[in-house]
Amino acid sequence: MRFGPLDWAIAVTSLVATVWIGLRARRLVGRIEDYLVANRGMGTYVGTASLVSTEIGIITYMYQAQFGFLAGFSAFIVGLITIAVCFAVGRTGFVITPLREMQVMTVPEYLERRYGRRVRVLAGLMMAFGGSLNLGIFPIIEARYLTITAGIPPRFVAWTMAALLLIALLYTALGGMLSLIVTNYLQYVLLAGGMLIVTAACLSRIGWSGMTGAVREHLHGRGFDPFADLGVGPAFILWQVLLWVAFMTVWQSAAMRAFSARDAATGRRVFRLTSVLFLGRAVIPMAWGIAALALFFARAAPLASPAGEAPAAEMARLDAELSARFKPLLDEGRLEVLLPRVDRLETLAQADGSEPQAQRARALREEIGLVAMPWMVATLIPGGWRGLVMAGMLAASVSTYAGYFLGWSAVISQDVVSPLLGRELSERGKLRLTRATIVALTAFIMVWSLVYEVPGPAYFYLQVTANLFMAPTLLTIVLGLYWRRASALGAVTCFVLGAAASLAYLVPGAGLSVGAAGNLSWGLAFLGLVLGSLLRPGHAPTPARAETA
Amino acid sequence: MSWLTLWAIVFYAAVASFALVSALVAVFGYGEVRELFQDLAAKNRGGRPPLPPA
Repeated sequence: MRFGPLDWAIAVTSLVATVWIGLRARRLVGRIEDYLVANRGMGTYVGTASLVSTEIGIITYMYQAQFGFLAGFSAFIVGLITIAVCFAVGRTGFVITPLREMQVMTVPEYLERRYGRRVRVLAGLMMAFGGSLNLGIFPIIEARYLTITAGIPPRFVAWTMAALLLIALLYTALGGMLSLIVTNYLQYVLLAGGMLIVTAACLSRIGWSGMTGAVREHLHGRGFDPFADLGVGPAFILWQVLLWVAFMTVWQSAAMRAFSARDAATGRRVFRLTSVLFLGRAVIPMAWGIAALALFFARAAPLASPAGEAPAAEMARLDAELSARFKPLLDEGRLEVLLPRVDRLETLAQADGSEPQAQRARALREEIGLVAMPWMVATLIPGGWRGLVMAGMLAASVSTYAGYFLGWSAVISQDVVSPLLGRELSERGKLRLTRATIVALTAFIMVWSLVYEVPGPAYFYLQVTANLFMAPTLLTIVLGLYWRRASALGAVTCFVLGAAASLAYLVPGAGLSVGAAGNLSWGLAFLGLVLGSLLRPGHAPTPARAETA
Repeated sequence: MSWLTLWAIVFYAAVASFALVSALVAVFGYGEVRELFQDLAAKNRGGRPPLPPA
């Protein structure tokens, strides 16, 4: 269970190597184009490594494992949607090819060409806002993983996260996309190794039959059929398809890989290869979550209740026990004590029709689900191997910070600050502005992660914050490319209405479900774009052809 | 086909394809990084402006 000196040596060496390589790449950066899109020289395999390592962080493992822990195998449907959408984008070049051919460096840059500067700035603001909120909870969730698996005392966790952020900040600010590409290659190798080690441990110690048995026994009839399960219905699946289409095409850190590719064909190949890895990105950590469910339920002792105890009295007793002992037991990793109690409380509350108690039990289960996978890793992985797994996790974490820092700071500096200045900056000025933005973004993230409390599962928070701008951005780009009448008024209405629905989910007490918020965001954004454009039509000649000429 | 069979196929296919594509990335990615850096070094030697100070 202890994280030994050998484990520390492996983990620290991997970080030092990453920084050293990242800093060496800095020498070759000469222009803003080198800095943001690596001189558009990225090949297929290194592009795949870069895209995947940016989109896999410790937080990805945490929320995917939590989703698997809560929803069982039904969660896998997200992996199938991901591979289908990513492969389709890679096959057709939908949106990414026209944008790559226009040689833009950020997504809102196209919006200025199509709708004017005001739309670019608005889109940039929305992206910067949603992207920063999205990134803002990464450190606090990842800190929990590090506390559990490396045994870092809680009082040092904030410092550890600060150190990781600073490492990413250092080489990203100096070397930009070029540093990212080379470090992402090393980081990808480490994270892939780490993922395969944890998966092998799950299969050898718990086994597929142990995992299926746990879902069958402990999810009360849920966990296999995504359509029948609560929360994974047709509305959820529709929203996921739309969200993934947007993610693959207009999410800045993903789109930047297409912009950095040698040519449009390379960009499409990157997405086709990535589709396979994105299936693993979803399904593998979800399976870890299911393995954690199996591990801790298998260790649990049967609950003993006093003879003749009425259900209401039992519910009250369990509630009192959990109120007093939940937090300390969770911090000690005694999930085998907590799980049967939370499970029983939920069963009793549902039978009694007590919705507040059932909600409380579900919230406690969500909390357990978030830390179950790290506790399982700390339990199952032997010394030495644990260092390798940690190196993989740290690589995943740092590469994600670096990729997102560059992505969102590019949007803030190029699409918000620079246009508002009203004059063209020099190469040196653009680089300085982007670097300063990265520093400011890092500071914001550290503060936000300390003050904000996430409503519901992290998975949904992340997707809803992304949806703040993804629906409007994708719609304005697609209709901008293929509908002549799409206008600036339509685009502005689209952004405002699309963001409003997602914001309603984030406001505590608004009571909007995640699926409803997601679909509402798409519906309102579409309505806004169409109505605004019909009210005051645009006069683009032949949009797609004119822009790519 | 039952849901359980489908999920077993999806899981093992995901792990196997992840391992295979990762191996391809590890092998061929190294050459691409070298090529990108050689390209940029050659362009820099050709008289492009140096990196502004941080």
